[in-house]
Amino acid sequence: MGKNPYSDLPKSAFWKTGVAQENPYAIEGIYKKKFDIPANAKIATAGSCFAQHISRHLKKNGYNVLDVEPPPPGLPENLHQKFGFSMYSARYGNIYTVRQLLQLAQEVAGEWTPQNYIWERNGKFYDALRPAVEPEGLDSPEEVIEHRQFHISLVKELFETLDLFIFTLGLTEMWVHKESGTVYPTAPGTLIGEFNEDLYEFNNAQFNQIIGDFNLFQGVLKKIRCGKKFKCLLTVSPVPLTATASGRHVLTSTMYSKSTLRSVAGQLSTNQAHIDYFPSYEIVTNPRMHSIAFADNLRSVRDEIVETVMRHFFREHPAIQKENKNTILHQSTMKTEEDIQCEEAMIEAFGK
Amino acid sequence: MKKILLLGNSHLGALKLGWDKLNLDDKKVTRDCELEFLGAGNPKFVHWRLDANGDIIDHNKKKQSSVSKFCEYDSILLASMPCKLDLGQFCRTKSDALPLLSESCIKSIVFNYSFSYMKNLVPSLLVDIIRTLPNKVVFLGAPCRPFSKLRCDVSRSTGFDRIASIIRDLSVKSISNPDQISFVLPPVILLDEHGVSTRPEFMRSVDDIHANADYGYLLLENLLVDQLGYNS
Repeated sequence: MGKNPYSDLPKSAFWKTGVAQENPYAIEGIYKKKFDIPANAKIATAGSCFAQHISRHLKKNGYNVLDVEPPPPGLPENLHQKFGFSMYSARYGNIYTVRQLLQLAQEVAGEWTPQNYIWERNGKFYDALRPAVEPEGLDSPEEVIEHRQFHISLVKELFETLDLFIFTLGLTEMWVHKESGTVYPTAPGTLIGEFNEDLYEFNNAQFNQIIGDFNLFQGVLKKIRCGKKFKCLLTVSPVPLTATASGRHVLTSTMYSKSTLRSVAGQLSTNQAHIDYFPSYEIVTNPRMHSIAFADNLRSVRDEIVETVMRHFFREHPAIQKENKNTILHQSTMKTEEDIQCEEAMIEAFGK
Repeated sequence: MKKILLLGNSHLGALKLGWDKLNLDDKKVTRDCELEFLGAGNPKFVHWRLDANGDIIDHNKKKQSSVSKFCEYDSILLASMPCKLDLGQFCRTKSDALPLLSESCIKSIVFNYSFSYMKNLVPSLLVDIIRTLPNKVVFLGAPCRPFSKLRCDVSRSTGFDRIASIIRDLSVKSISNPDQISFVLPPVILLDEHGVSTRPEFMRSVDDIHANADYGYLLLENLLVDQLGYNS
């Protein structure tokens, strides 16, 4: 066979050798990093549910994942998630759409104020923009406002500090407050609130809108950071839609949503040098997996597949090696104020 | 005569000084109770072990200090680790500021400050003792930090007082329904108007972490007489 444009390509360029005959748990060449993530890079994570896995694995592998709202030390670990702690770099809950992300940044920058975001149920009040972080609600609308302001002040700190922003694109479908354009993470009336078609409308974002929103987000972020540069790493959640309000079948809606978001991530990472794309979506939905990447509900990604996804990530961005010797030395010589003072207090009482 | 063992780290100092002072004043409680102090020089009770025959032994010392048959004590008071009201358990990091937390979140923290929560934090010696004699153990903890030592992310005038009051109220409620360990709160007289911080006059002036003899005096008198009823 004569020379042609495909003759010298690696096996990863061919479906047969790159997918059909390739080990789906170790796909050669599926991700080639665009830039390094230095050990001291301050990483912020946000996005739809799948982003939680990325956040957790980065922490586990020694990366400096920021958490501006860490759980109180006295809160048992099994309750962290109940109150929205340790999921992302702040307690903003799931940010499914880019429009949500844009509005969060605009709120932080003081350019926009959410409307109609305090929803009531059984005498308790909820922040509709992050309804899951206080599952039992708060006592008054004023308390919701106070908690939101507190949260926003910390997100500002996060946005000012981060070096790398990892965002997982989740959905295109969203529910919007007609009058103000405020976008909610959940449909009114599902977790909380009441659905009123005079107040809310459905929106299924299209490619151009999402690209525009993400670029606007970057502009607002730059403003918050007074021009300080940052990098982005995008992923697309492989988790299918639970339900669609688009009027189409949930399978076609899922495909629309995911392919649109994949295209958005592709265009942004191709055209902007500071944005990388990590193909978690492809690793999970690889036909070679024959759907075994998902649990029985064919939505949740199985833990071992999450591990597989992250192994591909860490092959390009190796786990941060802790300098154990130094760490131990530091720990053994480090004394808290109480340690330093304690012997004196004992001697005073017992040394007479 | 009640036999009481006080086990603790540096915070035991204030209680020992307080007990000495109660003896000097010839308070009745000193004739009703016999106190024995067993102090570790470090907060983690390194080298201290509870042996199979029920003795507590410091394996680090050539001349071993020990307590024989600790089961024979009427009460075992633990004076180490943060006290039930300590704001450190609510803070973003151990020594950081108090954040704005919902009542529901505070409740989850307060009502989980129990043996099951503490077992990951408490030195193994104390865990063993609590496990062996849960009904005799009374957990005092260290003194609350004075207000000057606290930082708060929320406005001190409104937010702090509200959160402090929620912590105080929920802690009082949680004590009435103990989970294996009896927790005690410092008597109100030792605390300032916020109800979660020790009045400055009861702290050692040199470090603001450890309490002084007056603190130990009032705490022990309140605990032994009013709370444990050892006054007959």
